Amino acid sequence: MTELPATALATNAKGIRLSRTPGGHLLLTLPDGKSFAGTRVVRAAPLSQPSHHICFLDSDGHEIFMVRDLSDLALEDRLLVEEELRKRYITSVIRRVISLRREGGTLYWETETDRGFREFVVQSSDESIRWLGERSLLLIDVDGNRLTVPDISALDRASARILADNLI
Amino acid sequence: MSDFLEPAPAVRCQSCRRLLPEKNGVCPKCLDRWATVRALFQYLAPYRLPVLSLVAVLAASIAAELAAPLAIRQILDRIVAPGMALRALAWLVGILLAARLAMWLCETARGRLSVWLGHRVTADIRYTLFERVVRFPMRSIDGLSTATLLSRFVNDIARLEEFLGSGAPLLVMSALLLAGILGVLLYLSPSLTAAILLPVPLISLWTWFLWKRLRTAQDKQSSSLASLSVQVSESLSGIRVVKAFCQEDGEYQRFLQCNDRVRRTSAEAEQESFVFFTVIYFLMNTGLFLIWFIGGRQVLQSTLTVGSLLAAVSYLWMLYWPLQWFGQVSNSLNQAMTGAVQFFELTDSPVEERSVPGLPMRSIQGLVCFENVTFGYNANRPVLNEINFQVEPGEVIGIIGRSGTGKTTLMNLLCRFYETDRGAILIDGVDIRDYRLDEVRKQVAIVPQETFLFNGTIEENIRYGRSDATFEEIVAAARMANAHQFILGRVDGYDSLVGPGGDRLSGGERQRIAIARAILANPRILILDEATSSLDVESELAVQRALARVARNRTTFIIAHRLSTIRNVDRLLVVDRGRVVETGTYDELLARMGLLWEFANAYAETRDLQ
Repeated sequence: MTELPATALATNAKGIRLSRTPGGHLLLTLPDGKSFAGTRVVRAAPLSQPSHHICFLDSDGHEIFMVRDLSDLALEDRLLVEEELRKRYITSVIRRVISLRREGGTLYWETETDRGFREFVVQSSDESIRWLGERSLLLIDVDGNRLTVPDISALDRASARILADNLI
Repeated sequence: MSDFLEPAPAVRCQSCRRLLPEKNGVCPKCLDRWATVRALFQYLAPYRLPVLSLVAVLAASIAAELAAPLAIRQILDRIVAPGMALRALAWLVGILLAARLAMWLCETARGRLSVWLGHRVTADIRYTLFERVVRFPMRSIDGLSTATLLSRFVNDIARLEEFLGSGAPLLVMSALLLAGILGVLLYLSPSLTAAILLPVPLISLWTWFLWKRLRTAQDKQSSSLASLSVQVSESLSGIRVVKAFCQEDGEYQRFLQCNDRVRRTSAEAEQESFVFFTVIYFLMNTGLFLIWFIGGRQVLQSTLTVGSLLAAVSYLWMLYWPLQWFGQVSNSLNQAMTGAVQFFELTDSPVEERSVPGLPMRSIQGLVCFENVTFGYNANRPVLNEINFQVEPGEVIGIIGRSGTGKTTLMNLLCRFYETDRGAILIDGVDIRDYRLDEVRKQVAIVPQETFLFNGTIEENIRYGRSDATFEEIVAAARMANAHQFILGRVDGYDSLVGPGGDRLSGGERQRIAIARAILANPRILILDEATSSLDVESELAVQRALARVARNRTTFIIAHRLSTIRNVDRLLVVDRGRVVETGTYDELLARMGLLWEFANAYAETRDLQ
């Protein structure tokens, strides 16, 4: 029976080097000395596996290689990758839900996030309100901004109650 | 055989010869309601305690309802009687209050219990129906339109839910209430009871007659609303076509017609409802006049107390409503029973037994042999005639032919979506009917022309090919299908939602996800049914590269319209009018100047025109 090349995708991260070009772009150098300026770092599954399956793409968007786990990278490389990922995936983390009003299929939120007070509107649909597992929630507001509640049970009681009343 | 199809004959009921509303043999007039009710009640069996509680609550509610007028009677009779003690009055008012409170509590409990039960039972019914329908053989599914099946799931089950949740409890309650009221009235005054019952036949008749008209008017109203919804939806979804052909005014006129119909049918329904209830009130008042006259005379003659008269008036109001409910519930019962019969008809239909004992198919080579295969979707009109060919393991076969010549049917038989009428299909020398069905389906994967993706993430759609696959295997399959790169280009990568039917992806992207899904299943035999026919050149190239990679080491069938798709296959089968008319390599067949040669010329002309 033909087997899928399941292991072919994860290149051993040992021997690769990451650095910044003078222009601030990411420079990836493979063990064979081949280097790629302007390397982009993306998550294969940013919502379900944010710290796994990290892909390095060349400037044309072609995959150079993929690592299974961020921890496979050397510490200084990992810090660079994390910095790149933070730039690509701008997601506010909701710390507290101040109020949530539901009107005709639209939800009006007032929240306290890691970036301060945020007021936003979300349509009541599976696409805008995505449960990532039983406790984690991703919201995409009408302007396309992403906000997340990494763990509902970690919220204060009032916030959790508001979410339970309106979303569960 | 005639080229023209005969008009489909109207289906009539075997017993009463009425025309049937659907071709399922169910006559709403003749169906055995009690047998259906008995079958339906089997679904209540797991909920014995809630059912018994509901009956008890209904009985308690009725007892409380009947007690209230009797308490009022006592109060009135004792107030007019000289020397009534305040203490006794307080007691009676207390009883009245307790009766009202008990009624309220029972009503609340009844509402909760009946809704809970109704939803539970209909959820079970829906589950049973879905579980059966997905396991129907394709032949059965072909005989049922999607609209019919949707109607079973939505309309019929909604009717059952309405009946079980409110109709049936109301029916039981009405029956108990009627019996109770008649009993108390006979106890109070037999002659007054006879007077009260005088308008009953009229009310029943009126309800029976007019309820049908009211339902008709309401049906017309809902049908006109549905038409309006379809019209608006069509106009808006086809807005580019509307604008391109300057048909805004035309669409506006169509909308006006639909809107006007909604206005007329809504007004008609309201009017019927108004007439219905006005007459009911009038007839009830007729009874009231009779009771006041006859009862008043009995009070004057001192054969009846004032309290008993007022209690009888209260019971009168209580008596007529259940009668009216019977009319309504009878209609709801009719509809629910029709839905239930159709439901049982579906659930009693045979299903595919995927795991019936058969030969295991763990490791096969992929040798495929069609031996004298004849098949027709309609037994009298074969689509395939005496098909014979053999495909070696790992061979890539192109199947080509005009539309409707049976190419897809050949492959449907290989997947065992249908059984052959005559002849046999062998895999590795064994008739596929001797293998377990689920194992055949695991070894034969198909990428259909109309790719269907489920509303979920890209990862979930690829994983559909094998639920226990690791993420690495999913990525590997996507890479082989040339899908990995475009997936990474999306912000959410493999977590991206594809939308209903995959409508957030382009045709080429959908095809590549479907190919990845098939690859993940890792079948020994792969069927690609015109997998690139609807793609643009760039997408076709990407998909073809993927297919070339996927076809390696698998027995592969590629059905194609475009000759470019099958130029490099190992061998071609040319199908025409249900027969394999040519077989050989592309160059061999061209040299023979047969049907493939004709296709090639036509194809070249088309390319020149482009």
